[in-house]
Parts: sequence; C-alpha cells; structure tokens
Amino acid sequence: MALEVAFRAHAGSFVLDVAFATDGGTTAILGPSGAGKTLTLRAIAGLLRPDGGRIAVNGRTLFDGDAGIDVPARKRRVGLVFQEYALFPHLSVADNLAYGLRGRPRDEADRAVRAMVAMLGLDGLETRRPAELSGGERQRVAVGRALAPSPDLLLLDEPFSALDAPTREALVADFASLRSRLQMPAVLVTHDVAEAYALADHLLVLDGGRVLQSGERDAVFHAPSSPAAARLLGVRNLLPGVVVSVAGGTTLIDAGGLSATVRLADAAVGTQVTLGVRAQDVIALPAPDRGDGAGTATLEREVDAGIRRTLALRLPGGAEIQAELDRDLSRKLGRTLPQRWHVQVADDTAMAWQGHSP
Amino acid sequence: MDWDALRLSLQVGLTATAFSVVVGVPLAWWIARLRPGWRETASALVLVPMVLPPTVLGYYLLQAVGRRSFIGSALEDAFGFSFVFDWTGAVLAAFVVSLPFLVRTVQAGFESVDRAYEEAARTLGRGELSIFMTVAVPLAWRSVLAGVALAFGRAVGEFGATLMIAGNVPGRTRTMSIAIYEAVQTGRASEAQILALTLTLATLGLLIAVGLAARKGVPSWR
Repeated sequence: MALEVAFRAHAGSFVLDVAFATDGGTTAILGPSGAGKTLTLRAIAGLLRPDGGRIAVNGRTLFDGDAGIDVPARKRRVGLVFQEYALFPHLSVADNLAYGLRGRPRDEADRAVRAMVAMLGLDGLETRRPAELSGGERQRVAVGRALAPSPDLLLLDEPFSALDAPTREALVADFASLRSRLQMPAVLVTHDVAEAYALADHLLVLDGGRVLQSGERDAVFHAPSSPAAARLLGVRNLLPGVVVSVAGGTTLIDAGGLSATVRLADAAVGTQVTLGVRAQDVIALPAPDRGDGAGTATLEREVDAGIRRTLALRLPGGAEIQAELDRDLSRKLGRTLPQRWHVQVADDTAMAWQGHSP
Repeated sequence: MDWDALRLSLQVGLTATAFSVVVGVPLAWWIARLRPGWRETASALVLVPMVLPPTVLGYYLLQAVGRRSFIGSALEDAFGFSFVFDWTGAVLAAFVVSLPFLVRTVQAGFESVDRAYEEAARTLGRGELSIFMTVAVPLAWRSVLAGVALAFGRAVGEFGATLMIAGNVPGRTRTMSIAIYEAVQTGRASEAQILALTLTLATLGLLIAVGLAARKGVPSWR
C-alpha cells in the first residue's frame, strides 16, 4: 500500500477518526467545512499529533501510537500545499522553491528549482516576491515549493479555493495533467464535488470527523453508501419513498409522484426507503395542462445560471425536487416556462437506501 | 563637557543592548510559542524588572553579584573581576532593565506572524534554529528593530540600578545620566543643560538610524 492512514486525533472537543488506504494515485477528501479535512492533512504531515493509530507512506511508518513512533514533520518527506499557500513573503519565487532543498549540493538544488520553474510555467517570475504574483501564480509556486524536494507524498489543502473561477478552471486542468506526470501519491482536500471527481482516483467522504465512505472514485460517486454521503457527493434530491414492486432484481420506488427503478437488495413491497437522484438525472418535460394536475409537478421557481438552468418542482406528494433543464429544450421554451411538468428519472441513475433519512 | 560620560553612556548602552538582543530575541520566540497559560506566566515574569523600582533592582543585583555574594566572590577569586564599581556593572544594570522592553516588543511581533509559515518550513525539512533565523526573525523584523530601539533608549538612560551597583566613578562608571544628576546637585546648571541636550541628540540620532534601517526592508536569509 502506498498510503495507509488510520488514526484518532482530537482538536479541542472535536474528535477525528479517519481510516483509509490507497495503492497510489490521488485521493480526494470531500466534506463540508468543519468535517476535519484539514486536520487529517495536518496529522499526515506531522503538524498534529494523533492520539493513536498508524500512518505509513510506501511502507515507511511515520506514526505508530502503539510502537511509539512519531517522525517529526521535517523528516517525513511529505509535501504540504497550504490553503492560503503560506509562501514566504520575504523570499523570491526562486528562494521559495529552493527552501526545502537546503543541504543538497548547490547544482542539484539549482536543477530542481529550474525543473519546477519549467514544469509549472513560472519562467520570468524567479526574482519576484509572492506579493507581486497573481493568485494562480502563487498557487503554482506553492505546489512547486512542496514538490521541489521530491516528497514521498503530496498533500493539498483546498488548493483551488482561493482562486477566481476562470483561473480555477484552468489550474484544475493543469493540475490534472501535472498529476499524471507525478509518481508519488497525493491527497487533496476539497468541498467541491466536481473538482474532486476531476482530479481524484479515490474519494473519501468525511463529515463530523468520521469517514462516511471511501473507495474508488466511480464506485463512491455513483453508489453513495448513505443519504448523508450522497448529499456531500452532490445528490440534491433525497426524497422519502416506498417500494411499490419488486421484479427480477429491480425494485420500483415511488417518492410522492416521482418513480424510479433501482437495484436494492432485500426490499419487500411497502418498505420505506430514501430515493436519491442528481438534479441532472431528473428529466423534466412540459406537460399539457389537463386541468386536474394529476401525476404532474408544479414549477415553484427556476435558477438560470446561464450555463445551466435548474427548476425547483413541487411533486404531487408535496416534496420539492431540483431538475436541470435540457439545453435544447431550454432554448426552445425561451424565457417563460410552463407551470406543469412531467418528471422522470434517467435510467440507471437513481439510488436508494433503506429507511427514511431525517 | 564630560566627553568620558558620553563615551561611557554609548558604550554601556550599546553593550547592554547587544546582550539584550542575544538573550531577548530567542527568549521572546520561546515565550511566543509557549502554550496559553504558560505564555502569560512567562510574559509576566519577564516584566518584573520593568515594574520594580530601579533602586530595588539595583539592590537585588548587588545582593546577587556583590563582593560578598556567592557569584561575586567566586568571580573575584577566579578572575579578579567584579561588577561592583566597574563599567560592566553599569552594563549589567542596563541589560536587566532594558531586557523586558525588548522581549515584550519582539514577542508581540513573533505572535503576529502566521504559524503557517513556520509549519511550512517544518514540512520542508527545516529545524527550529533554521526556522528562527530564516522565517521568524525576518518576518518579525520591524518588531525586532523597534525592540532594539526601545531597549537602547532604556539602557542609555539607566540611572537608579546603575548607581547602586556601579556607583559614580568619573571615567569608569559616571554615565551621562549620573553626570547630569551630579551637575544639578552641585549647581552646575549650564553643564547639566549641555549634557542633557547631548544625550537627547545622541539617542535621537540612533533611533532615527534604526527607523531608517526598518524602512530599508527585511533580511532575506534563506
């Protein structure tokens, strides 16, 4: 295992209990603020001492509570990119990049700095101070500073959160290509599902200091283990429903007027379930107004974000769902939207869990 | 004009300030990084020489290093050296009274430096001494200079404790502050005036020099 993490730690009254392991690649820790994401990185980097457990990188133990091993941060060979970057304001870009290379032969250090400058496109900025850089440039210097000493593991704390949207998109794409050239495992902390999905091979969903789910990216993304994990994975529609029929391994669920077929083991007809559907998987089509409103949803409001148009629809059963409007349909309908809509769930996209979520 | 007194004041002030920097800057860094609770306790202890009356402080110093004290007699037996009635005694007094000014100012500077810089340095393989020299001191540089200026100002003006331990020996321990006191006591008003003015200008000049150094920027030790 490239990375083995299993520890308990606390900060004040907050208790963190994290366990995951990967065989390399990028792991994204996804969770709301206050979930313990940053604390997890700090524990791996050696800046927070766990109460117990074990942390190992490529078989090298960095922390083992039982064996009394606690390798100090400076000897862990773990690169950390801080959320606000923490670039040394009094040092130039080149000196920031070289900071972790002290003790190496001069020519080797110079070569490593030049390699970082070339790899991250920082040419011409070597003599600048951090204050004279744009947000995107600062972020790249911070990544370069962490990578220059060739760490065994790279940790990134919300590396894109301090950037404006266009820079952010460009740098996420840059980082994805940079990542494919790096050998060492990486752990990325984010609260952005799209960012996590775009960059990670493994997802770890963290909430309230506990791991809700972890595993291979698509397995986690398409099959959240609980409604709480689903919510953090961007599933905006979580509705109370009931099993109406079971046939040949597929289960039909009705959630107050929205039906969907899911695979759900041991579900008898009448079982209470929670149905989960992403907004982009709800197909909403205008319904001819028959006057009685049966089986159709009512438009409550719409949010037109330009790149996508989201409808809030009231189901006959009273629950509200979010549906992304198809782009072609959106163009055809124009500004004024009809009041009544047929809603259905795209095939093989619905999720369901036993019991009603609070 | 007592040029010896001016020379002695600068000599004592600069030496005491140098000791204050060497002891006080690391001490301030140490206190700034103590856990809350311990930090307040250490801060309060450092302040003691600042709030004690200088004569009381001088009395304690005399008790500690005077000829009949353990330290004083040991020093005298081993090296034939004594702080008492010596310019080094004036340095000791000035050092003790100026240290709190330096520590408090520099400590506030260290406390205002974001801990993330120190943590970043640590994950980049640096030890505590290296972090102190390359991150903490440069980032708290203005506070260090302000602390130096305050400590020098206090050291050069030291009177009470100096008189207690070093006395008033012309050319040896008669600093400007003591010379001014003596001039007033013996009715030499114009001499007192010139001495006071000279001391004011000399101190002001040094403080302006420190201020200019602060404007020039931050050292970028790597």
